Amino acid sequence: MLNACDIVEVDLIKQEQKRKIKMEEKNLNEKESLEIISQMIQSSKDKMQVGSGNWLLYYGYVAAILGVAVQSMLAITSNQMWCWLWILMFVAMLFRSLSTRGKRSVVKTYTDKMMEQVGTVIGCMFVLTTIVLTAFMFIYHQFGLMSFLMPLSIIYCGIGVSITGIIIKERWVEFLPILSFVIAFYMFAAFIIEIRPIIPWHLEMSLAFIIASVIPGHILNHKAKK
Amino acid sequence: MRDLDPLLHSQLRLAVVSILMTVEEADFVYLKEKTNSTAGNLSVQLDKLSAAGYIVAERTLDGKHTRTVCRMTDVGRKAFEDYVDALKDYLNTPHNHPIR
Repeated sequence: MLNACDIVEVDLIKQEQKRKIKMEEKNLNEKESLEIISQMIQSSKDKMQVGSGNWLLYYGYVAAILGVAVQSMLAITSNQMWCWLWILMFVAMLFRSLSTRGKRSVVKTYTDKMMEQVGTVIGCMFVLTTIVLTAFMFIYHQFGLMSFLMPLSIIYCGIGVSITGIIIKERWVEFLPILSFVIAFYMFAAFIIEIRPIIPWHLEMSLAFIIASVIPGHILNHKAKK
Repeated sequence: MRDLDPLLHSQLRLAVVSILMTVEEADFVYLKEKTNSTAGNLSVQLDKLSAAGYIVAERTLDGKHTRTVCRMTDVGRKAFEDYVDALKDYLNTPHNHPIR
């Protein structure tokens, strides 16, 4: 048996349903139409979701940890084979693409789409560069060519993060990667004119990824939380 | 003065289309929440918009549930732009009559 409170509650639910159904039946005037349009545009305006910077943190931390690990193993064993540990970057890429496959958020904004496309282009550039350098390495027996992959990766990542910063209008994310470009150019210069870099090669890579990926990732997540 | 598209000149359908114009795609739950409509009513209106070719409603299986993701088509975009232009015409006309 229903008591007074239940009756009131049922009544309220019915009123709410009637109000919602009326949304379709009501005749609109021009002002109401414009009001709906502006209201809906306002409500669905681009808002960054919490975790927007997670992809930057993921790749940034993987690269930073790998750099430290490779440099440490080189220092301990002096065996150059440890450089192949960088292949784990591809494993990380594969793992991430498999774990996010089929997952769609409730809404995809134009910003999300642009950021996704920037990521895809940068990823393709990275894979293509690796294939070309590997091919050249075997054709011309120039194994040092693979060393170019590191500064190039920093530049590609920096470009991607910088474009993301432009899209979301975040100054720090836009300009921080420029610092990592300096490291990349220094790595190129050190390789070409054969000077010994001040910071060990693999640690430079870690540092560049912290600047171009980890810090912007934290900035994005902090901004999304706000 | 041009006529207003009757398909868009409805509160819920106009709300849905306005949202879809500002995003790449949105799912049923998001649209329901933003328009504050009932599932049944929204479903009917989405079918009408889809039948007119204004939106594409893609149904996918997400675990045990079916998920409907909607996005605007070029036809829908054009219709919305025409609708807004027609609205502007009405507003700019000195002695405009209420639209029915």
